[in-house]
Formats: sequence, C-alpha cells, structure tokens
Amino acid sequence: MGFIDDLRSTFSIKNILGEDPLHIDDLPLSTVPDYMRKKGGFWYWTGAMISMAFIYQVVTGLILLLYYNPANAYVSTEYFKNSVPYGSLILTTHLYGAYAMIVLVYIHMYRNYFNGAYKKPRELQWVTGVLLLAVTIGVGYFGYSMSGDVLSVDATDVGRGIALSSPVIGPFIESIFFGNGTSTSLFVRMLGWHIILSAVIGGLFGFHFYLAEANGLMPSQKSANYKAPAVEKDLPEHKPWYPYNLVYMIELGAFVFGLIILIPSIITELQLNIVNAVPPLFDPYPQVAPSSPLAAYVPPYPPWFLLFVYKAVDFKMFNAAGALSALAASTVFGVIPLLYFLVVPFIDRSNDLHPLARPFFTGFGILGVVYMAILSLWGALSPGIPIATNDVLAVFIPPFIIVMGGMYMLSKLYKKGSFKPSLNRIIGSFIVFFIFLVIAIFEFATSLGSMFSGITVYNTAFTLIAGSGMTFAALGTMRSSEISNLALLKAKTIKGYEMSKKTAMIISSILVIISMEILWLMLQANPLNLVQEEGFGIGLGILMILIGIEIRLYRMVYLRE
Amino acid sequence: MADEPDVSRRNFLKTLVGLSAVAAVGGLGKAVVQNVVTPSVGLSSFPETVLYWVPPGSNSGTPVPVKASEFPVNSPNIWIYYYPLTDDPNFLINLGNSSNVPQKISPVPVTIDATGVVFQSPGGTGPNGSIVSFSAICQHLGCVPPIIRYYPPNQLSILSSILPGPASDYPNGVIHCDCHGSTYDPSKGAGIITHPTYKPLPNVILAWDPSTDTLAAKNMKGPTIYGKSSDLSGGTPLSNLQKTLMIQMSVG
Ligand code: FES
Repeated sequence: MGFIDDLRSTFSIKNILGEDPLHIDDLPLSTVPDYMRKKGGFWYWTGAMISMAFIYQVVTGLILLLYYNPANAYVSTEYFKNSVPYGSLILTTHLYGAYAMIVLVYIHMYRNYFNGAYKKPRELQWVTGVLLLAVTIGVGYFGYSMSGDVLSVDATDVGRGIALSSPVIGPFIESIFFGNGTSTSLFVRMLGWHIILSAVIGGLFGFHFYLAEANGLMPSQKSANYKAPAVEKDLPEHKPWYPYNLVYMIELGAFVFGLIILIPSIITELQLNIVNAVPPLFDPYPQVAPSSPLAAYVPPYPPWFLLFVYKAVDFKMFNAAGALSALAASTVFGVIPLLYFLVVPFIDRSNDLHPLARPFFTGFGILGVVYMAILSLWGALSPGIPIATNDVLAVFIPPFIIVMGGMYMLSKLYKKGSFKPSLNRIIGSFIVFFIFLVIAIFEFATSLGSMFSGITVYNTAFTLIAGSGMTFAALGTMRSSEISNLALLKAKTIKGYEMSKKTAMIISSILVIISMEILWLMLQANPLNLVQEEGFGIGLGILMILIGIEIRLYRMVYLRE
Repeated sequence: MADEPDVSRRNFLKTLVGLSAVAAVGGLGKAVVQNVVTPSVGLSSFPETVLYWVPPGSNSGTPVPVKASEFPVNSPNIWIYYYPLTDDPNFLINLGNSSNVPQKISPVPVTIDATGVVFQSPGGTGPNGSIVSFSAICQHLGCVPPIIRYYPPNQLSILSSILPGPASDYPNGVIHCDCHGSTYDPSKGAGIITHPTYKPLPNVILAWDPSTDTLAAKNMKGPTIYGKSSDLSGGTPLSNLQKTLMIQMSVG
C-alpha cells in the first residue's frame, strides 16, 4: 500500500502541474443556491441544455461538412448515410439534435417569459435570447434544405417565393440567400448560410451567456419575493462552483447527450424495422430525390417547426394582399410575434414577477403557445387546404376569450390574496392538472382530427375548449410541480447517507458491468449496416445516461446533493 | 486521512464513473474515427482492358484497338494510358536500338532498393517481344509526364552528363525524370540507373493477342504506384473497362 501511495503522490496531477492547473477556482462563473441542483432543479438549466445541444450540432455538423458536396447534395447525403461508417447515426442525430435544440429554445423562452425573467436587470439578455430563437430557426431552415430531397426542394421553393414577393428588396434577398438559380449555387448558399448563421449563434450565445453570468442566475420567484430585480449573485451561503456545479454540469451533459443520441436512434430503428412507423414529418431520413417517380407521393411538408407559418399561408384572409399574401401571412404569424417578444421587456415595466400579477402578458404567452400548437397541428393534418376567414376566427377567438378572461379572473383572486395555495393543495393540484392535461391533449387531438373531415359547431367548440384546457393544464402542471418540488425540498431532512453509500457502490458497480456489456455489444455492430448502426447509437445513448446516473449517485452520497 | 475507508470508497466510486466514461468515450471515439476516415474507393482486383488509340495520321479520328505491330518504335512522342484507376498514368513504349529496330526484352530480376525486395520483370511483349509498359509517375516525388519521359537511344546525348556510363550501356534508351534526375532502365524492368529514386517504376503486365494483334493491360508488378497505399484503391475505377484510350503527348 505504501508503495502505491508513493507512486500516486509522485504521479499525481498536483505534483506535476501544481495545484489547480486549470484555474478552476479562478473561473468567474457565478455560484448558485442549492435548490437549483436538486430534484426539479433542471428547470434552471434549460439554457445549459441548449448550449449542450448546440455543441452536439457543431461537432456532428463539422463531421458532415467533411462529406457534403453542394454540387451533388442529394447523392452526397445518401452516400454519407449509406456508405460512410456510422453515417446514418451522425446524420439522424444531427437532425434530431436540431429538433431538440429548437424545442429547448422554446421551453427556455417560455419558462423565462412566464417567470418574468425579461425584467430588470435582464432586458438585454432577453433581447439577445429572442434573436437567438430567430437565428436558430433560420439555421434549422437552411439545414433542412440541404439534403436535396423533395421536401428540401419544396422548402426552398416556398422560402424563395416569400423572399421574392417582398417589395423592392425581394430579388436581392432571393439572390443573397438562394443563389443565382442553378442547383449548385443554391446548395452552396444553403451550406454557407447554415454555417454562417451557426457562427452567429455562437457569437450571440457568447454575449447572452456573458450577460447571464454577469446578472447571475435568476433565483426562484419565491426567494425573489415575486419582485424584480430578482438577483441572487454569489452569496456566501452558496456552495463553490467547483466541484458542485462542475459535477452537476457533467451529469446534465451526460443526460442531454445521451438522450440526443438515444431518441433518434430508437426512432430510426423503428423506421427501419416497421414500414412507415414514423410520420414523414418526423422521418429521420431524407425523402426521395425530387426526380424520383415516388416524389409525388411525399406530402409537401415544411420542417415541423415552421408548420404554423405554413398553415397561415392557407388563410383566405391573406388573399386580399394579392401577390403579397404569403409574405403577409408570415409577417403576421412569424414576424409580429417575434417583434412582440423583442419589445416585451420595454412594455411590461412593472416589477411584478408572478404570472398572475401580470395577467395580460401571461395571457399573451399562453395564447402564443395555444395558437402555435393549433396552427402546427392544423398544418400537419390538413396541409395546403385553404381556410375561410370565418373558420379562422372560429378557431382563434374562443381561446383568446377563455385565456384572457380566465387570467383576468385568476389575477383578481391573486391580487385580493385569496389565491394563496398551501403545499398540499399545490401537490394535489399538480396531480389534478396532470390528469386534466392528459385528457385535454387526447380530446384536443381527436376533436381537431374530426374537424378536418368536416367542421361542425360542435367539434369546433370542443377543439377550442380542449385546446385551451390543454395549455392551461400544461402550465398548471409545470408551475405546480415546480412549486411543490421547492416546498418538498425544504421539508426534507438530511438522513441515511451512511446506508446509501453502500447502495450507491453496489448500484454503480452493476451499472459499470452493464456499461461494459453494452460496449461489447456495440463493438460487434457493423457500422455500414443501418440497423446495427442505429443499435450502436442506442447503446451509446444508454451508456451516457448510465454515466449520468452514476454521477447522480456520486453527488448524492459524497456531495450530499 | 482520519476517514481512510471513506476516501478509498469515494475513489472507488469515482473509478466506477471513470470506467463508464472510458466505455462511452471508447465507443464514441471508434465511431468518429471510422466515420472521418474517408471510405476508400477502387477495385477488388486488377481489370483487364484493351488499349485503344487514334493512330497517328488517322483521318477519321475514331479510336481503334492498338495494333502491336503498328505501334511506333522509339516513339518521339509519349503514349499514356490510365490503369488500373483513372488517376494512374502509364507509359507504353516499343523499345528499339539506335536504328529503330525493335529489341526483344527478357524478364530480369529487379531490386527495389528501398526495401531490398526483388521482383521478376514481366519482359517485353508484342510480335517482337519489345513492347513494355510502366507507371508514368516518378517513384521519387511523383512527377508526371512530360517531365518524366522515355529518351530513345539517339536522344541519350542530352543526358550524357547525368548517366553514370556511356550511352552504349543503354542500347534501348532510358526513362528519365527532370524533377530531380532519377533515371530508370526500361530494358530491365524500369530498374534504377540513377538516384534520387530508391524504387523502380511499377511494371504493367501486358497481354498480346497474336490473332488480333491487340494489347491489353491486365496486372501490375513491383512497387506500389507512387502516392497510394494500394494500386487498386484511392481513385475512380475506369468507366469503360473494355476499352482504354491512350493519349499522345508531344515532347517540345
Ligand atoms: S520526382 Fe522524379 S526525380 Fe524527383
């Protein structure tokens, strides 16, 4: 033992590189209160998750760049997928990584919106965040258009048309973003803008992150007493960034990367084994080439994250704008909401953070979610069918009345002080909300489905009620789970660590054995066989999640978190 | 160290996490490396391809199979064809003496100085056993025709300061590369006459069909073609394996 200890101390990093060679202790990263690293604390790290997804996208994107050939976009994409080892895995996870990033950006935005995080002192942080949303969708659009399959051609044609129809600057925009009309020029531009905008994300993110660090993480509403400015920066009772936050970040990273690899691998595996298991909108693979005779059978979907604008283009009310109708639709449903979010910190100047204390803005946010969900579903279920203005109003007005009216009433109760639920009521309401949510989603989907085979007063009304109910329930679920978690954590006492150390050892050992088993299986996979390759991806995703679990156990027993 | 067992248990737990991390990074690393290595293209075996040309002085300009008996002896112009892949140029040379009489070339052992390996050259073919073919990429640093070319016996005076012996030592001419002065002996399997090359030129094995008088390339011998890890990979396969058209390069 003495010898090994000698060896260890001679060759320890400390002896060779000195104490803290990476200057981790000098990092200017802000420390955070404990509850942000506890159960449910991941709500405070949605930004971190986005940046992890972004890193995944950059790495896989650069690998794809080694193979992409704009002069032969479709062929080079198919070649990468079929003939390059692990090509299918990288291509599908790059696609789904983008989906994950977009979903996370929306979650991050709405979470901060409903929490009033855009208020003092974070106005600029919020503005850069909204710009990041726009750029992220732009990168997604160009990336989606790069495969050269029939859907990408549809998407570029639509984008082209909308760009061209803008008065005066149309032709410039078209030629700047879509090239001179030859296919090579188009794909060179798609590739170029995909990368340029990704670099813009990197730059804006740097600024956004710097502001976030400088402002400090936004504390829970409760500890900020529901009033802006909510600042809780580097208090002495916070645990140091290293090791607590670092280990937590590694754990979170293991889960995020694990899921980004695991989910698309499972979906692709399903798609490979069961014909049409995945609707075309979420197909992990490119569709057929536009020149293929099968191309006519592919429904002309845009990427799902643009479905809401796509449906709006079908609204007859925009026909009044004549040649500008598509532009008008995308302005009303794309640009105006974006502008609203950009300026919201400068309109909502009160210092109230509680969603019920600012019913107007909360209501607008809920309507944003509802409208976007309805439009997207509508676009997915009845693509390209023109919608009369009456029907549009029938779909849009009831949620407005329900949400705004409901918010108004709730906020009155809240302001009077009669809406101050206790812990048990919150937990109870969480369960109620959750059940309600599930039912509402189901009802919404079925009634909306029946609407498309024929609109009746009954199914329209039902859809709207269910849709609003669904959103309301979703928000309620989210809020109540968050509040109840916080309260529960406070109520918990620390005990039983001695016991769980042994348990942690045993569980971790088992997990390591499983990891090795999985690795062994992964090494058997043929990297050119699509099915085995996606199996490899499933294995890799699980491996990473197991690491996340092991780190969680370690944090639990040794960092007492 | 008062808490000794706890420290070692803690380290054990860390090691477990480390082991899993090694497994994940190992799997990930394997996938990334295998993915980033460009998949090789090429062939699994040497194709056999008949050599075509537009004969000098042809009016129609239509390619026809090379007639071995009509192929010029000691041609002042360079004849190149690509084999086994589209990026691999080779000389086709009909060796003759100073009065342009074709000479029979016998197989000889050729030494690859760089490795000490000895291979047997295929020798000449055609009606007079005088037609030979070698890779046209210099084995020193990869110069290509016309910088590397065949000097027939009556042009050897240009190289008199370079050749180690008198011109009479090379009755059928030499292949010389102007980049850095490597010289190869076409009568002896393109063996080395002067450095800096330490490898002979790769030899193409030709097949001559006496009934049709046509020539076909069918295999290679000797060192690997310059700049490649294998003769059969690292390039696009020939598009028409039945016919390989030769191109003529005139020397200024
Ligand atoms: S390349 Fe031919 S002698 Fe150097």
